[in-house]
Amino acid sequence: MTEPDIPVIEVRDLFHTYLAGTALEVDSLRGVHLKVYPNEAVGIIGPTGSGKSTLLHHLNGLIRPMKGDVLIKGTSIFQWGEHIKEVRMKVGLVFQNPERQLFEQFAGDDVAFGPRNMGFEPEQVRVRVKEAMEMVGLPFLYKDRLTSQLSLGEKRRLALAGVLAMDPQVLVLDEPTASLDPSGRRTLLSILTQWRTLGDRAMVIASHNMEDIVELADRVFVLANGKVILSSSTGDVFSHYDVLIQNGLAVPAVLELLHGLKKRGYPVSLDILTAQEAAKAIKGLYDA
Amino acid sequence: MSVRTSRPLIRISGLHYTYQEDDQRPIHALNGIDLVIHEGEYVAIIGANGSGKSTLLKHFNALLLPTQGDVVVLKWNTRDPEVLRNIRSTVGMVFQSPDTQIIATVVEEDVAFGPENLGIPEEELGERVEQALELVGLKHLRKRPSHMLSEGQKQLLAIASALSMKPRCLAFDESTAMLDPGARRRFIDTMSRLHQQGIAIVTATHNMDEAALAQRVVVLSEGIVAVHGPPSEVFTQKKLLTDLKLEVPTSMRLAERIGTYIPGFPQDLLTVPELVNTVDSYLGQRRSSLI
Repeated sequence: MTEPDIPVIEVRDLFHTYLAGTALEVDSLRGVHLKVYPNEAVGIIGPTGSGKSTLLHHLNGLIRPMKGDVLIKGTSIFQWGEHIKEVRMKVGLVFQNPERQLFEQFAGDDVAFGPRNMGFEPEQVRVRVKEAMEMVGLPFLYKDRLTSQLSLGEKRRLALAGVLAMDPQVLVLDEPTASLDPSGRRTLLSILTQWRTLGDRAMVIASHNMEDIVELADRVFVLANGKVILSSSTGDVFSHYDVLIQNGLAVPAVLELLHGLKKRGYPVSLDILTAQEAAKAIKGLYDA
Repeated sequence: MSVRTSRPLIRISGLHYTYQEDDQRPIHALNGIDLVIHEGEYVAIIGANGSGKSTLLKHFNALLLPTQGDVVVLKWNTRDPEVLRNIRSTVGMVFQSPDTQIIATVVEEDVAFGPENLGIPEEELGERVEQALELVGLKHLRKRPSHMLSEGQKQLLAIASALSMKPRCLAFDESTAMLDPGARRRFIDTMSRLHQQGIAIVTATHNMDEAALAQRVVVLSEGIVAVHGPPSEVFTQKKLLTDLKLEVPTSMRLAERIGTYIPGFPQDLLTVPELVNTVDSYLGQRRSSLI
């Protein structure tokens, strides 16, 4: 990486305990450090219960740190004070199954909720809604559709549009493709990739789908039991086959193939991520 | 490997189902389905969001009744309220969110709940609970409060609770969607173990790699069966899959790419281990021919 700017999000030694002080208390985060720089996409993987969602909910101040700190553009979440609303706009959070949180009768009004709250004039709201809907591949005419009549994939994209309409600098996504059919998943992945090309945009994605992570993330943090056990470039993280498997995770299919070949004694390198490169490597062995 | 017999377990004929809520446009979810699930079979149901997968599964044990057509489980028509018990204990159902179906506060009590309601004598009840927990690998957690299980463990508990009814078929609706990769692997192992024991497995999934493990794949589109057959037949119809918003398993995508470099490389490789074996034998052949 070139000389990094100030991280757009920095998580410092973050701890979180659910039901603290009761017999049922559970340590969810136990000293997490994480930096997200402008223009990068960071993947977060970890088994169920590793603290992924808890961590994500800290990134826009939805949960306040019990210990440690979260800095947004260099300023502690505690210092944003009454301007915390600004943080919520800068860091757009898309929850798991966000379509369950759509509440307006008409699709367009759901997207408009954020910009209206931000105090924009009706005409500006309209422009933002139009741009956001088009960005997620929903024709602006859909604004007058009944939200309840949209398909699951459309609802998911509508919920995403509602966050994008606030023009966030960081988009935080929790399991964005879960429950989507293969084509819905492809569409969503390409929308997210497209969004990044707007420039000065960062993304944080938590997913159980390693193929999604390969497609979207530049760097990956591996969480286990509330701690970061591995963080590196996507290629490097997925070369740690044993660590990932032992922690209830997986590698993308490309690496499962290469790892299988390596175990059989073929000299393949494990820093390959695309089908194309893997096929080339196999061709190399074939010709050798 | 196959314990499939030709004896029909669930017979679905001319099934139509329409969701009709007050003041809303009716939604025709199923538009004439003819399908037979056989004893001991392992079937995957795939299809785009809204193609009717969940609606179809819910007809298997009378959670929904046909708007038109019939669903017959063994000899019982799901329309007959007198035989509802027989149907529900023959076909068990596991959903995507286990929280929606866990009832009791302690693991073993949840597993006992179904058979206890059937009036199964205590001794047999104990045996059934024991066996069900054993099969899914939750025996060590039998006294654990059910809300203190992980997502994956809850999903296994939902299976155990369905198993204690001694079903001949278990239907899974997107049961692995929210599981982490490790829990997903264990879940799939459990499904194939149950299949080995002769229980018919029907699983609706968006994961093509998972569907490729079944004996038969049923593809739904707009409430009808578009095509069905062994995975090797269904997944080689790439054009059709794309048209229906589906895709081939990852191993086949990789095989296709390898095929562009190594002409004649087999394309119908349904799992990554199969792919590894095939690449290995290709490379092996080549090595020996050069010596």
